[in-house]
Amino acid sequence: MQPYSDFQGSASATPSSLTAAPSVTLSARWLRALFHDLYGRVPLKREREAWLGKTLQEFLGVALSDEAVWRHWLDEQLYYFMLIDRFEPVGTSLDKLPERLSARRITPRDALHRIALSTSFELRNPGADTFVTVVMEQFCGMEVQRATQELKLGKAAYDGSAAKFLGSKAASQSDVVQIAVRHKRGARHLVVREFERLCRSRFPKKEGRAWADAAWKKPASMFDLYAEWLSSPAYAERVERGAPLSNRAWVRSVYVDLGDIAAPADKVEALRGALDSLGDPAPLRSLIVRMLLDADGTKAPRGPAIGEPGSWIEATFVHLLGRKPTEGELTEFLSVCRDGSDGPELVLYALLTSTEYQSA
Amino acid sequence: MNFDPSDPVNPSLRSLSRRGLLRASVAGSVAGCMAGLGASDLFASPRLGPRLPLRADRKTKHVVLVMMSGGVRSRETFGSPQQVPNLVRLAKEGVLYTRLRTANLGHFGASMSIVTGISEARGIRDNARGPDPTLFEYVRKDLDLSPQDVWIATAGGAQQVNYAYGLHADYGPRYGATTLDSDGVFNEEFKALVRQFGAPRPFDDKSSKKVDAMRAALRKAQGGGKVAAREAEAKARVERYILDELGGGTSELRGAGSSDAKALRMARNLLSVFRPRLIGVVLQDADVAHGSFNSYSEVIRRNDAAIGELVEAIRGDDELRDSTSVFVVPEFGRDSDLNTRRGLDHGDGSDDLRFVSGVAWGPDFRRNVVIKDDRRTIDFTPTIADLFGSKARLAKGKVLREIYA
Repeated sequence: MQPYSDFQGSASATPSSLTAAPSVTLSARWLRALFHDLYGRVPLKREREAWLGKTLQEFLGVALSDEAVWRHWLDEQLYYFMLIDRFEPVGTSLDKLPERLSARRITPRDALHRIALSTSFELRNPGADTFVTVVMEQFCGMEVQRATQELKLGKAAYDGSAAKFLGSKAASQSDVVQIAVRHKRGARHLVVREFERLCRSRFPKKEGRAWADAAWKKPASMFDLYAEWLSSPAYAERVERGAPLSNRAWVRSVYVDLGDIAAPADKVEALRGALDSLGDPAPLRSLIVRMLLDADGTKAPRGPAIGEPGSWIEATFVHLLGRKPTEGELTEFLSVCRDGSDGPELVLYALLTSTEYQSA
Repeated sequence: MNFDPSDPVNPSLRSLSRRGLLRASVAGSVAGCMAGLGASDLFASPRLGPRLPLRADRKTKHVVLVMMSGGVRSRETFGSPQQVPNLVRLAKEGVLYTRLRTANLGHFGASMSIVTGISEARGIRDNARGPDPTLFEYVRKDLDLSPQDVWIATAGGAQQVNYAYGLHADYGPRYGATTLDSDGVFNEEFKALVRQFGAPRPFDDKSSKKVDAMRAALRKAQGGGKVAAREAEAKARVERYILDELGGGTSELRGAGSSDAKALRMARNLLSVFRPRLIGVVLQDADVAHGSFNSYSEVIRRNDAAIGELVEAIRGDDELRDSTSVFVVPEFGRDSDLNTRRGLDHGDGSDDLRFVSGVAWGPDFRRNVVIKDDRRTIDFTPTIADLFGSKARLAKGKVLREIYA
């Protein structure tokens, strides 16, 4: 598994400015980052062609109403709640959330509320103690060891007794969830973790207070906050720095980069589950690339299929790493390409398993 | 240190050897692709020869730390000796602690505390690194060990991978343990995918050299030096190990406690292949207790049997027999009374929850000693670090010096 975002620790970045929105024309680097964060994969060829050179605002105007973006958002939220693998909700009403979010017929906050009421959430967090603890921690960002009385009240309410939980009257499991989701702490916690997920930098307390306030008073303002954050210098800095590809995004991106196809969901989850099981997924990523290089739909090009090797290598570097090869790299890669029909496959293998490819 | 020959241990598990593991894998489904790698390739490393103790005054060269991280009461372990015959045997040959103080910091936080030596609360579903260095980082940094010298085999999914290292500026990922979660990489869905796609074809020597040359060029362009090259080599060996394991029987384990069983099986195989200095094994299945006391008891019995197999394999290995120490410690216990579902939660603040029993067994330790005074689960990290000649500088626990013979 990888950390939920990569800003933790002493090397964390703090955005230098948050208010001014930069005027951005979309480059390949920007598109890779935006697609990674919003779609959970790199762009398909037709998407690259459609958006390169367009403005960020044009892109956001379309993307934030795209159901696929909200499907990825839902995936990220389910991962946050660890509703994955055998706890993944399949074939439930949660499947409708992306469509409703894209049409703004439900707010992100209320979508989270639905998740907490799902059977999967209940199964993942069985019993009063675990359930109320997780609700307090994951919805409100509370440390239950410092709020034992609140936990006790929440557990009593969960079990059907009347209690005052987080300042509101509660007498059932659903009351506990609703109170936490709608609590001011809940709004702040959502804003903090979503900002940090997208911008990969520490939440700015000063500016953030107004965002949290807005999200609490008017939950639909989260839609505007997403657009604001993605247009902010903080996000521009994130694009410049690059960010590690999550295992799920890496699987989807390899499918796109090898075959220009969207990866089947069942395969993504099987591969993601396996990759999550390593502290450093690089060795398994390498094995998976080798499997996919030969798979139907992602077959790597063979010798003559690439045309002139020098141009192909240069284009492949730009496509996969967002830069041209150095002179030393070009010499080495050309020598491989010209020596046997497996050259292009080996080039792709080396690039897709490189450290550089694993961030966007 | 011999087991009773009448023990009901699978005879095939009595001996653990690199050759045996390789034989098993060759019989598996990835035999074809392994053929191209070759045993010498898989096991070739100057670090894998017979090891010297890291402290001249100690015999221990390898440590296995088993963390029973699902919440296990003493009542169902040493309080019910018939349930855990293998742990009882370990205790008779080592040191048993009957009052290890711990805290209900959530599963994630309590196990994190064992490996950091610092009690720290963490959210149940937290999925991020901790701020403090772990045992694995102390040992790797102080003793200049490679990633393959220090491993963690986990059973609890993505979250437990965070035990590999913390975010402390003086330690961190470059000193982390190599981590594998048994239920992820050996899950049936992934294995089915490998069958569907076909196991990755091995590169022949010529292709491997081409890939190495391209990777070296990429590293050079990124400013990577010898350290990056060594890391790349280590990753390649882990890659080959995973390929090998996928052909073995680990993914076939099923039923209550199968994740734990896989993690313990993986630890056995890692000991055989890499001869690591330190392996942490993080178990999790006992938490089924929330909903079923019977399933919880079954998990404890199964884990005891798997620990017995692990120890038996160590005893059957000429190199490991008199040079390996084993520690077993639960993260915390469980409530005194059953809940309304006839299960056991962990939140009542009772002694059943706050005190657990643990064992230390190995060539440097006293035998058949029971320590009834209060100690802490966070003492294990400083103790193991000390055993290796390392120091857990930031840990709040103390070295358990009374274990030494």
